[in-house]
Amino acid sequence: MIVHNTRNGVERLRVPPDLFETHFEEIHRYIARRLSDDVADDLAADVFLVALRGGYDGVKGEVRPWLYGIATNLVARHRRTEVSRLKALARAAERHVEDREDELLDRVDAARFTGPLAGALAGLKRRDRDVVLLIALSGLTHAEVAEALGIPYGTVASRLNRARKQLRKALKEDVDG
Amino acid sequence: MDELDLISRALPEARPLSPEVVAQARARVATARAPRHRSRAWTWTWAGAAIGTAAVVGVVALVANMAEPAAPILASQAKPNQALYDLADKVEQLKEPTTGRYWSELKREGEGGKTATEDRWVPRVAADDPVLIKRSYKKSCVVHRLDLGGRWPDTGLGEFSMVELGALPSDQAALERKLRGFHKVWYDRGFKDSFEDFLPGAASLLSMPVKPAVRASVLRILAAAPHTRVHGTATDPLGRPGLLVTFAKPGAGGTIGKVAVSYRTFLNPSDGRWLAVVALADKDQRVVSYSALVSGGWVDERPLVPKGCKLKG
Repeated sequence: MIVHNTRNGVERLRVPPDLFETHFEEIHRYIARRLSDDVADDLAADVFLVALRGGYDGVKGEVRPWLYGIATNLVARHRRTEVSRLKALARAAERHVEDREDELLDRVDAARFTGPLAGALAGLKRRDRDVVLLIALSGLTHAEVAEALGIPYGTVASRLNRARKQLRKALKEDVDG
Repeated sequence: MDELDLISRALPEARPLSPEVVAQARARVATARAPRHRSRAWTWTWAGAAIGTAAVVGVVALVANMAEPAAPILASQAKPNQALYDLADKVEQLKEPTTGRYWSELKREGEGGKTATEDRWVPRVAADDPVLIKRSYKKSCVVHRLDLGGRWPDTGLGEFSMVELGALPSDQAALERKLRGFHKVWYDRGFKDSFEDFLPGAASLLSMPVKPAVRASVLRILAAAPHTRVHGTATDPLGRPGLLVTFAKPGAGGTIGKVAVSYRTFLNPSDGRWLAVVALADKDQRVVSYSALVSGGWVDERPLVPKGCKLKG
């Protein structure tokens, strides 16, 4: 990876060029899907402020996990907003689901499961939800999630496993009625 | 389809990103280089460092709310920008203390009818701990840890060690070459501002521990910059007279909340240092927020962390 030196010609590898242009949209989308579009408008810019002021260190890994890690940390400050949003989604979806019988997961309209999924996500521990949503919304690999959150690979796996059990349970209960 | 795929498809999609949102975010990040909310610079510096590793001390405690000051009142109208050249001539002759263990600054800030103070201690050498003591209107007291590695905490213009700050050239042409180097760093990061649009950020040097001769050169460079406008002598939020200057081009101030603002800087007429920065609403010129330097300089004593503060990070 080409990285630029921000120490004015001195020692450290730092922030890649075009960081903002390359990654702003996906970071904004990630935050918007977790919180809201309006919050994302401000918070996504905050991610890049933190990134540019904190600096990129090449030894820490790739840029995308690093940015998603910052974004996830900033989203954590809005935990109540996120949980409220998920609960609202769960309630709203319940009102609109009329027929959900005998649908197989690989054939359903995913929107039909917005309610139970949102409800289950709201019930997850924040650290488990972070892992799930980093993988689901950003497409990061397990190793990249570990980089982003600064946790061991095995911890990512265990959190994901625990979260998936809860999600499956919620989906099963929903399908079973 | 597994649960994760289902989440990706089932959660509401974000609205398409508008060019306006991108432009505002880009401007906000780019204009963050300019001297304005000193506390935010710290906040972000700390937040950024917290993602890496850490080691300083900061404290958050209580202070009473105070009324927002009235907008600055112009006392006179000076010849455009000549006042900055005059001030530079005066500053260049100053003899200032250059010894001391810590560079200590006490600032008062206000926004939304609430005030806070910030007391920061930046050590001359990396072996000493930097300390940030923040007293807000909230009854909280937190001590943070961060390793600045002997660097000046604000990185909006460039990254400086304390040694590098002390070694900045006082020759105007040499200093301008340095500034062009800082500009290139930002340009290469993807912020394609012209050097002229970048220059207002050099005003941050007026708040840093640099030699008077360096400050004088900064003042002359800023006086010649295309966006600089001297408004005259005015009263700052703490009631002190200062030279009121706008450094950034119109529209570069961004927003605070949803309010479009422009930043103006008060300079100390005695030593050319940064005295205060106010964010004025573009719509009605009311003060939306301010940050004012109460005192600052080199000191030998070490900072004391108030009792009862929790260590964080």
